[in-house]
Amino acid sequence: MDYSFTKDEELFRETVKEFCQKNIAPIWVEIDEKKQIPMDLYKKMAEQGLFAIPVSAEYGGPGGTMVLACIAVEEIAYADPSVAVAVYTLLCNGWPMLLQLYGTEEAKREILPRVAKGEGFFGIATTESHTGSDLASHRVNATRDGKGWVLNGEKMYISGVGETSQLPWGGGFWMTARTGTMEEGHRALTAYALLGKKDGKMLEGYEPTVLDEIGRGGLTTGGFTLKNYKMDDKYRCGDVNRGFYLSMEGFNLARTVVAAACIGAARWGIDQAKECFKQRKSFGKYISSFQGVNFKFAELYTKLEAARYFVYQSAWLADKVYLEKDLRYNPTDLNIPVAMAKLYGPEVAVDIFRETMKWNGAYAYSKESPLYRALLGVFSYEIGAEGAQNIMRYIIARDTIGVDYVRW
Amino acid sequence: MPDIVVCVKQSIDIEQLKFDPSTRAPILVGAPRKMGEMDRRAVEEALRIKERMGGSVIALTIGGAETEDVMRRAYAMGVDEGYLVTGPELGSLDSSTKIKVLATVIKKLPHFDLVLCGAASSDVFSWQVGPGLAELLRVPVITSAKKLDIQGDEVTVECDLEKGTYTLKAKMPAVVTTTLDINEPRIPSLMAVLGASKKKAKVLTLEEIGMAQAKPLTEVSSISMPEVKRKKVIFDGSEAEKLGEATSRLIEALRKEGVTE
Repeated sequence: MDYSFTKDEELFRETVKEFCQKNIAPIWVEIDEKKQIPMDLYKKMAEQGLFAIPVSAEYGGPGGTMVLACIAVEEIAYADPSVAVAVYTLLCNGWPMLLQLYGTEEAKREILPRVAKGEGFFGIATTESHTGSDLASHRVNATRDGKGWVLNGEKMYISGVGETSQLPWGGGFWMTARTGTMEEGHRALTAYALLGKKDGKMLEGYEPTVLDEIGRGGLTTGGFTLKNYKMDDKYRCGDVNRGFYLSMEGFNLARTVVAAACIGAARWGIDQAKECFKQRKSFGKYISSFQGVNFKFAELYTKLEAARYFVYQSAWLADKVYLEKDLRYNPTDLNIPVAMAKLYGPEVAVDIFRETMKWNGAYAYSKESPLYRALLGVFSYEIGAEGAQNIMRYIIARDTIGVDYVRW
Repeated sequence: MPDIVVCVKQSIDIEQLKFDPSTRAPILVGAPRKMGEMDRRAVEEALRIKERMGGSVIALTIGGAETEDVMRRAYAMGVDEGYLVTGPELGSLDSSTKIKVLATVIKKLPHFDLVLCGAASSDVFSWQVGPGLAELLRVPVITSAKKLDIQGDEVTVECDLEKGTYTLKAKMPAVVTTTLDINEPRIPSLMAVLGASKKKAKVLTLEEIGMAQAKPLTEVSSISMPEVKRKKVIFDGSEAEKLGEATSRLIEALRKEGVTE
């Protein structure tokens, strides 16, 4: 058993940390405040090789791994604990990797190099206004139109809607649409690489809207309506009616990097707590001398390290399954470790920020302190972005107890 | 098209160095290490010259197993070739002997126009390597460069020395040492990091370069953290009426300590 990172991974962490501390950390509050990631930052990050990391050089990616993607996202979130830049990055790592696995050659050659260059966005759009977790009840539909498709319906609470419109090339989403009846549930969903904008032009039939969120201000979330949106069959991913199953594989990849973002932000929170302990005294003692404080800190730090193990175990396993094609492992082996990472990562991060704010006292409740920005950022993942926490619990229970005994 | 040799060192990352509280000695085993900050500027300057004028950049380092990492970083930054002198006996060598090792390797290279190295390492901070190398290579040296230019066979260097900024010229081959001010070193991309792992430095032993008998001239008897004794004098200015008096007493105390005039 080897718990160490490889030399490549160590050097990459060193370089990406230096890059993030130089280019992201000084402006993260401004990004959150102005609700915009600067356009030149996308370019710099792309030059550094931080998008589409696991995508091979053939499709314009750096040819890295999920472990490297997690290292990048963790360090980005440490530099921007509001997690806006990290979320943009994690989406543009997890979902491009799935497109690489299941997209058509034409779609991959068109989309992936643009994402890697920071000119285009590629995220996920499955959620609809009435539910995110219950994909089987999703209504957006796709019908055959000659050799292509026509899509109608509305997706909601989708990250990156604004960025898709703003970036020079454009971008889009891994999306599921109904290709059968409602009664067929999740067995009648097909996956597509849906573009909202390409070659600098918004596509007909795609109408985005942006919502005002309480946190991670630098990244937009919104929705889009599809009105007779015509799509070439080259954008279909995998076989018809296999969309649910492929998307679940994608969620395993994306949730791994989501948890990496949470532990990166949480690590920053731990450092803020340590700084607070060096300065804050009550009753003639450093507050960290009180067991009410130091026991809690030790407990949170332990949980953070546990979450970190889940993250890197999941990433390592994803690399074994998808990049090394190691036949000792199966895509479903990812279910439990990924669910544990996504369950634990956001919860630990939220706990760390809440406690760190309490240790900082009233100052932390003022907008002078940046801690609330970090709390609101990671809170999005406890609320349920990229998979509700109870769905994570369900996956862990189902895959350990057995599906026959954990029925809906 | 100058051929440049850059000497780099895998230094202990002083910012992360921990000390044994009982002995006050630094914990060197497993201490995080990285390329010295001034060495990074030397590599960057060499790469910028190559990008401007062509030529080649060779990175040279000596040390134990940990030096492989510094070479990996140099390759990721973009050097063409790497030479690594390694062996267990190197750990016990002092700066002057290590300079001899570096000079011996450089003399064996087919050609060089310029040797660049950090003015000082980030850990030992001896400032000896550049001048020592120039002496052994019998070439001119300019230290503490903050700007460097090459015209024909001449190198022009701007450097801060004592109380002035000097512009000095030397015929190449020459040795120039770099400071933190000379440039902002590049941060290798992921693609460069992954590419670097495919490149392997040429590994040499002391025996192979004819220095099997090398012995240190000086010996480090001990290293310990300086003891800082705090005086813990408190001038109570917590109440408004006491503030003026407390401030005067504080200024007087600082004068006595020689902190202020």
